[in-house]
Amino acid sequence: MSRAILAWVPRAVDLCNRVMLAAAGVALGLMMVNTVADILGKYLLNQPVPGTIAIVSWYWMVSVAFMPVAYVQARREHLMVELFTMRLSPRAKAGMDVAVAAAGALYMGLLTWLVWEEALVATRRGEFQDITVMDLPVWPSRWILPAAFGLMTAVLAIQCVLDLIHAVTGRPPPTPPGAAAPEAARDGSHADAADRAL
Amino acid sequence: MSNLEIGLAALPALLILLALRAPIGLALGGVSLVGLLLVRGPRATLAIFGSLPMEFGASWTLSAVPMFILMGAVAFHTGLTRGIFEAARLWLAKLPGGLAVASNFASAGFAAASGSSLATCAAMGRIAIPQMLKAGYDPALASGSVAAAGTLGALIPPSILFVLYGWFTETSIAALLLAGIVPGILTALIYAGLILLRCRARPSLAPPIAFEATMAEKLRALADVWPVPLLVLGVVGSIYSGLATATEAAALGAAFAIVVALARRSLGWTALRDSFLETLVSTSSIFFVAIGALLLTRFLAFAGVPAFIAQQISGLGVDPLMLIVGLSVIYLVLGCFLEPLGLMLLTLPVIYPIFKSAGIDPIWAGVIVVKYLEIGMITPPVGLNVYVVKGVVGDTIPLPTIFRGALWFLAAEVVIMALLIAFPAISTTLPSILLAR
Repeated sequence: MSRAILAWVPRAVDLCNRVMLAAAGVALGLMMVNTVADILGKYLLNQPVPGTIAIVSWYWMVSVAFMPVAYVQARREHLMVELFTMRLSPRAKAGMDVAVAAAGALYMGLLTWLVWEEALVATRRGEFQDITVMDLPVWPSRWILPAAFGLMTAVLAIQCVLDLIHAVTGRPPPTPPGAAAPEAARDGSHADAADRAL
Repeated sequence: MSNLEIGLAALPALLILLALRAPIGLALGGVSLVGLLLVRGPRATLAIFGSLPMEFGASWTLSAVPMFILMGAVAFHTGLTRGIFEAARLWLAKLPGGLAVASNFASAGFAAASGSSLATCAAMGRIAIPQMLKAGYDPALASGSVAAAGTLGALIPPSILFVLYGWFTETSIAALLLAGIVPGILTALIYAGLILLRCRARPSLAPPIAFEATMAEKLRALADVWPVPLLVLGVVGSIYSGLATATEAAALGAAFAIVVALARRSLGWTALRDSFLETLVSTSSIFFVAIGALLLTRFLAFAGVPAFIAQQISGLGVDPLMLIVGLSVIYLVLGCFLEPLGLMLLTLPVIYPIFKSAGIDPIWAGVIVVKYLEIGMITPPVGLNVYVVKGVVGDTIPLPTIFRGALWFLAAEVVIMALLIAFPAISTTLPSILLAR
């Protein structure tokens, strides 16, 4: 039973991560197209795309910035300081990561609840932005946050369990949680400092 | 404990969490959560935590971050930046230390497309270092010059550091991007001068290579990289002329990179997917840290920490110049274990209010801070650029040798920083023309 859960839950979370990532990718493309169309329209046709600023910020930006957070956590690529612990054994690191993941899951869980409440309030009042030609409803984008943060909470909870098993038994988990995606595995190898676009 | 004590206790607590492998965004958020609960109570705290991520994320201005990253990622993954070193080599190889000079300017060119110092280092290290070693160059010079030239990445636009600095300090991002240009070029020129002088004084460092390139070859190499300068001029020019805001210029730059890649038939599915994936992962991890930094800013403000520090500093009678010089110590120490972006977001909540109360020009201060952050990348014991170069060269060059090579450039940085601090006009002239309009 517990073994089935251990295998099945990470796979479901991984699937969610990939869906979110794909959606974020679409939003990234739309952000570029929308902004460029607005500029070209403004200068060439004297007709900017109505509501560009509101749509880019409320929809495309929120998607791009938040949807991948859980995937980044699954790949353990959130920025962190490794200098002081880099000489520790993988098992000792897993032990430390149990505490970090547990605290992180609590924190992200709280955050998920808070942004969920915000989204609920915004939905009830039908939050919108006035973009002159129409009222652009923006309450739906509020739900991106609880989805993204909730997923990250799940990733952290899974990592907490897997790290605990690793720390106790000394055996690393067979596949890193959530990193089962083939492209993730491939990118992971060269996703070191070189490909940090910073 | 008074509010102020809670605020001051938060800073060591934060550093301990970071040392214990907590992701920076989580550590910042966690410390701010506990701190705000103690200082402001649950109602106000939960309201801040519930609303702040959306306030920050739903930002038109900050869409420049993913767009600039996408531009650099597309330029890199579609091979647009691959020919830069080759072009620089053909034109500059005849100079003393010519290959090192070429890799220095190629880094500047690469930086103009990518805005990341680590990416610049990794890309140039792979291409330029093997060629220099083959030509019999001193390994310390070969590797050190690449590590140092990588620091140009964050100064020459586009620069993610400047976009975020501008947002956090409410300074014009367009002005900041322009402010980085002259200091960036100045740094590249002084680095090149250093290489030339050293190689002239000790020719054994860089044996001259028998090598003739015809003008036709040189021009062909330039033709291969023409989109890169055009990309930069397009982005900078549209900002400078006021035709586009920094945000719009970023989207135009990304679109232009994609169009060029399509025209060169180098935009395959893999390149596109890798570029998008890299952009999403980077953007999301930046925003996660930035939200933590913003929460910390709110908490520290409520606890009265910035006001307290500003008061202490004015009590000591420290003038702005001393402040700027003293800051270098903080950045060089913290720069030993944090990468620049995390370090900047971590320190701005404390340091920016000090700038403000001391009446320091935020544009000039931005350039200085970014320079400090980048110098930390090549300073022993843990300059990240040096580690990236080490990762690229593998066992052929030992780490201390790379640091020894980079040390010469640190000496050059002392001169550069003295110039930038003594003559703020180097940084502020270009942006002041823009702001005067």
